[in-house]
Amino acid sequence: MNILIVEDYPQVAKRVARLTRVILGDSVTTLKCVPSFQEAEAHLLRFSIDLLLLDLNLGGRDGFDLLKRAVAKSFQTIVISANGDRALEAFEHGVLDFVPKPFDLKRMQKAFSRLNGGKSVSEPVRYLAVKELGRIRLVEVQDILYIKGAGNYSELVLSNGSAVLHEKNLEGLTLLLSPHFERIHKSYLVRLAAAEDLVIHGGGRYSLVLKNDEVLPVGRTRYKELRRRLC
Amino acid sequence: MLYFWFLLLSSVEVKDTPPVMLEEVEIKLLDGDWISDEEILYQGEGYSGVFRIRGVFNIKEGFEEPAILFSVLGSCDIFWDGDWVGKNGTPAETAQGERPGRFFKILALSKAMAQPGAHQFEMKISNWQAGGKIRFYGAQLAELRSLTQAGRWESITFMSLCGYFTAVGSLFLLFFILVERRETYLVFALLCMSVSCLMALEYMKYFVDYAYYYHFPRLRMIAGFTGLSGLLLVWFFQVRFARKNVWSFALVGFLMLGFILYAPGYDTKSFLIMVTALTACLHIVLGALRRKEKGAGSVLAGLVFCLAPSIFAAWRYMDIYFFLGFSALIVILLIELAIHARSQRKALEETRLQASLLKMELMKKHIQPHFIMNTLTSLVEWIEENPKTGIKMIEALAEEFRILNGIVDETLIPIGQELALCRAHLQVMSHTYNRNLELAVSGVDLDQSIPPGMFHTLLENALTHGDMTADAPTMTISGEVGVNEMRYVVSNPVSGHSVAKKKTGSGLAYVRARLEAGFSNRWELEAGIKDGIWQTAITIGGCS
Repeated sequence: MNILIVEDYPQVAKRVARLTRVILGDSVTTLKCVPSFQEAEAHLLRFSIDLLLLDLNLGGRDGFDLLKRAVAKSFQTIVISANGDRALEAFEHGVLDFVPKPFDLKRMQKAFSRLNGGKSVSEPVRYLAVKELGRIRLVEVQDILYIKGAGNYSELVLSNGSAVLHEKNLEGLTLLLSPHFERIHKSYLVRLAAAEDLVIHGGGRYSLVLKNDEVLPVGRTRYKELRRRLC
Repeated sequence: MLYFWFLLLSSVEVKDTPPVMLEEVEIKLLDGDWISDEEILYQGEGYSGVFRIRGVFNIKEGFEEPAILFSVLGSCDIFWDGDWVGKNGTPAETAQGERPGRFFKILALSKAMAQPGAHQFEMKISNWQAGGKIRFYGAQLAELRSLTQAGRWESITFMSLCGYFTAVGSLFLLFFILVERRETYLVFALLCMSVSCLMALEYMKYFVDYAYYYHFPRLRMIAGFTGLSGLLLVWFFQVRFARKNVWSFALVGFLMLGFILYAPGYDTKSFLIMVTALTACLHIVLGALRRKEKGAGSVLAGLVFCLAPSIFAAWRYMDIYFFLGFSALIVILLIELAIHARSQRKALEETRLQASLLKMELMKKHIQPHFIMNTLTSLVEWIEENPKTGIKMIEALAEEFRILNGIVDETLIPIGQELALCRAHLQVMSHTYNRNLELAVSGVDLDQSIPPGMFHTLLENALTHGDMTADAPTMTISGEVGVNEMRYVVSNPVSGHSVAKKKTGSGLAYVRARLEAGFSNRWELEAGIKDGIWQTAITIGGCS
C-alpha cells in the first residue's frame, strides 16, 4: 500500500505514521508525511496512492475542499481531525472513517479494518464526488440505480438514465456503499432499494429486475446473499 | 398695579359691572401737604410712621355687592366719602400700638354707598413694621364675588404645577439615593424642588392671607429662590451636556448675586436673573448642538420656548410666562433625561457584555479543538514513546493554564505576565513540534500594561501560519518608547504559500477588541507581509 499522511503537527504526524506501520506492517510500501495541502496536492499529482490520512484543519484552513477532491479519486480517505464538528458531513461525502483526536491503537485498527469490511449502516454515504470538466460534482447516492465496473473505473448509472464515471473501482465503492448496496456480480453493484424482482432462469442463471425494468445479471455465487438481503 | 387687572381677568363674568380703579391718588405725609408724587407713593423709602393716601372712584354703573380690594404695606383705617367704613389691622401713632394689617384686604360696602358718581376713598396708614418703605399697590372697586374668586384659576394651575415639580423632584432625589448616584439626577431634583418652592412663594398670595410685614421677606425669598433656580438650571445644563466649567458657572453666579443685591425692583431682579440663566443655558445647548449631541435639539426648542416671551413681556415675564415656559422645559428635560439614562445604561450593558465575551474568547482559545486535541495527541505519543518528555509537556501545559487563570479576568495586565504566558505556550508547542521554539523580545518595559492575550494571539498566528522550518526565532517582539506612546512590532517569518487574508482573521479581531476595551480610541494596529516577514505593529498612546 502507498500511503500519504497530511498533518501539520510533527508529533501528531509521527504518531499516525507509527501506528499505521504497527497495524499494516509489511503491507506498507511507501509512507509519506506532508504538512500542508499544497504539498499534498503536489504529491498526488506525481504519485498514486491507495490510502490518504487527512487532517481537515491544517494551518487554520478548512480542508474540506481537498476532501471533496480526494474522495473523487481512486484511493480511500480516512480523516483524522481535532474538530469533530464535520464528521457527519465527511461521512456523507464518502470517507472511509473519521477518527477524532486523540486516538489510540485500537481506534486506528478499527479504522483500518474498514479497508476489508467496509462501513456500517450508521454512517451512510450521501454523495459521491465526481470530477467533471475540472470541477467537482456531487452525485446523490439515492439517484444511483446501479454501478457497473469498468476496469480501474466505475460507471454510475443514474435513475434519470445518464451515466457518470467514477475513479474508484467497484471494490473501492463497495467499501463505501455496502450498507445499502449489494455486489450482485463481479461487474455490478446495485442499490438494493432500486431492486424489484429476482428471477431464476434455471441452470444456475439468475437475473435481477430493477424498478425501471432494466435487467442485470446476478453472479451464481452471489445469489444466496442477494436473496437474503432482499428479504 | 397692572396685576390687579390680571387677578380679576378670570373671575370677572360677562354680566358683572366692570371694576373701577382708584384715580387721582395722592399722599400726605405727617405734616405735609397732599401730593401726587408717584415716587413716594409707590417706592417711598425711609419713612416709618403715620401717613394718609386718598383717591377717587368714579362709578359709572351700580354694583350688586360692591367691595374694595386694596393692598398697602401697613395697617390702616378706611374712609368712604369721609365716613369710617372699616380697617385693616389697627394703625397707631407708635410702633407698639400697631396691629398689623393683611397684605390684601377686601372691604365690603353697602349697595347704597356705591351709587354712580365720584366717591372719595381715603386711608389712614401706619407702617411701623415695613422697614421704612411706603408701598401702595392699588385699590379697586368691583363685585364682591369676583374679588373673592380672584386668581382661583391661576392658583389651581400653578399649585398643581408646584405639586408636579415637587413630585418629580422627590422622585429623582430618591433615584439618586437608592438607584444610581448620577449627578444629573441630583441637580435635576434640586432644580425641580427649587422651582417648586419659587412657585409656591409666588402663588401663595392667593390663599395665604399674610400680614404686611411678611411681604418684603417673601420678596427676598423669591429673589433668592429665583437665583438658586437659575444657578441650578445652569449647573444642570453643564452636567447634562458635559461641559462643566467652574469659571463660567462662577461668572453666572456672580452676575446673579449682583442682580439680587443691586437691581432696582424685585420684578427686575427676577427677570434679569432668569434671563441670564436661560441665556447661559442657551450657550451650552448651542455648543452641544454643534457637537451633534443627542437630545440637544429638543432641549434647545424647549429653552427657546421658555425664553422667547421675555422679549415682549419684560418684567411681567416672571409672573406666568416664565413658569409656563419652564414647565414645558422641565417636561422636555425629564423625557430627555430618561432617554439619555436609558441609552447610557444600554452602552454600559454593552461594555459589560463585551468584557464577558472577550474573557470567554480568551478562555476558548485555550480549549478550542485545534489546539487542545492536537496537543493531547502529541502528549499521548510522548507518553507512549518517551514518558519523561511526556511529563515535561504536562508540566508546561499546567504552567500555561496557571498563568491563564491569573489573567483571564483582567482588562489590562503587565507585559511581563503576557510574555510568561507566551513562553509557557511555546514550551508546550515545542514538544508538539519536537523542536526548540523561541521568543525574541527587545526594548520592552515589562511593567507597561497591555490587554491579556495580545501577544499570545499573535504567537498562535505565527505558529499556525508561519514558516516553522526557518532558523529564526518563532516570533520577535520589539518595543519602542515614543512621546506619550508605546509601539510594539511583532514579526515572524512566513512561508510563501501562507494566506494573507489573515489581516482580518478572528485573531486580529480579538486583539483589536481587546485594545479598544483597554485603551478606547488611543491605539492603532497595522498588519501585513513584507519581505517574507509577517509584521504586526501596535501603537498604544498615553503610557499608563
